[in-house]
Amino acid sequence: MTSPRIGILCSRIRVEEKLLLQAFRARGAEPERIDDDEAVLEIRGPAGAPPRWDVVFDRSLSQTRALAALRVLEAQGVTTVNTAAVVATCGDKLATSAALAARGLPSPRTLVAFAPEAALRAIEELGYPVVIKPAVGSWGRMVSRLNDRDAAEAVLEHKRALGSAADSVYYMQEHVDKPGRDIRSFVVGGETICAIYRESEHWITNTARGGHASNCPVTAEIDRLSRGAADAVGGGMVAVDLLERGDGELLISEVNHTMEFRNSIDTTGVDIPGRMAEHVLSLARRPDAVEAAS
Amino acid sequence: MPNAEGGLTVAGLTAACPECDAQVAIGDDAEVGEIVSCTECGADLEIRGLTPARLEVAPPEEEDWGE
Repeated sequence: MTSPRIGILCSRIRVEEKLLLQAFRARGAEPERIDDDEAVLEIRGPAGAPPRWDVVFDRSLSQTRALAALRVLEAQGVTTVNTAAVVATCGDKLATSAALAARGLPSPRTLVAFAPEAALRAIEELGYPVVIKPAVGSWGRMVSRLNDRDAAEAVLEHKRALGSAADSVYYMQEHVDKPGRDIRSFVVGGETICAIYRESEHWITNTARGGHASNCPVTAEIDRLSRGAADAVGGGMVAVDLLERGDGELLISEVNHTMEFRNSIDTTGVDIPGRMAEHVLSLARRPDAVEAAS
Repeated sequence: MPNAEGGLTVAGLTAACPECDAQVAIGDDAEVGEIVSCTECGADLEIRGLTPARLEVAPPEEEDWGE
């Protein structure tokens, strides 16, 4: 059997990409790096010359570029991880929330409005504190907690005056009074392979924002929600953020399609990049494979 | 000190920081596209080549970057 032709779409080589490249090499595969700064891709169908890669693994930092590249590659007949559909859903908090809700999966109560006055009514209906987030964004950027009407009016005025058209979608969520931490689980190949607690003094617990990681045992409920969330966004290799209510109920907060895991390998004892590389290679060995969480 | 060929000194792979001209050490397992910090000025630098080693100032974080 010829060795699979793996492409890895990336912008920068962070710790994660280095570990992934090492994991592929340890398994006898040498992925071709597709630098999203350099790439030129042709929009064409699968007829004619076979595509350059069997599988392209998206590790691009830019969600816009990733989505565009994956759409072109899929048209060519390339198997993608994650798929354009998964990236489109995970890259948009509103789309993620809608996909979770459609499956009946628990997530914080969320209201959407399209003008500041309506947004203020939505905030008051949710009751303070309320979290307002840009629909597109990551690493906790521009996520605001509104503790009272003064804060709400200030943030809404700033969004109206300074925002782009995308900011005219107001995405507002009940604030879950979590116990100083949230949970991040990792789903690879339809399996919840491990989870961490992210603890922080700050209410935003992203480790990109300084949150501290520790091992979180994967309970039956964490497993059910994690796999359910991965399935809901289109069957992806994803990291799922879960919030705990005071009474222990778990809610799905976000689903991340280009997961960072550098602080979770030693913490959990699970070889996350190894598992990811194996999953990508398993797809490459399956002709006409599609990424599926089931 | 950088040499005439644009900053490469061969022993123990280093390259000149494009911001402050200090010599930045590059690890043996470095990959093109990796980000390193200049120990002198703290600039974030992207490794653009390994033979010869070449550094450029890393592009700033974009609005749509994330995980």
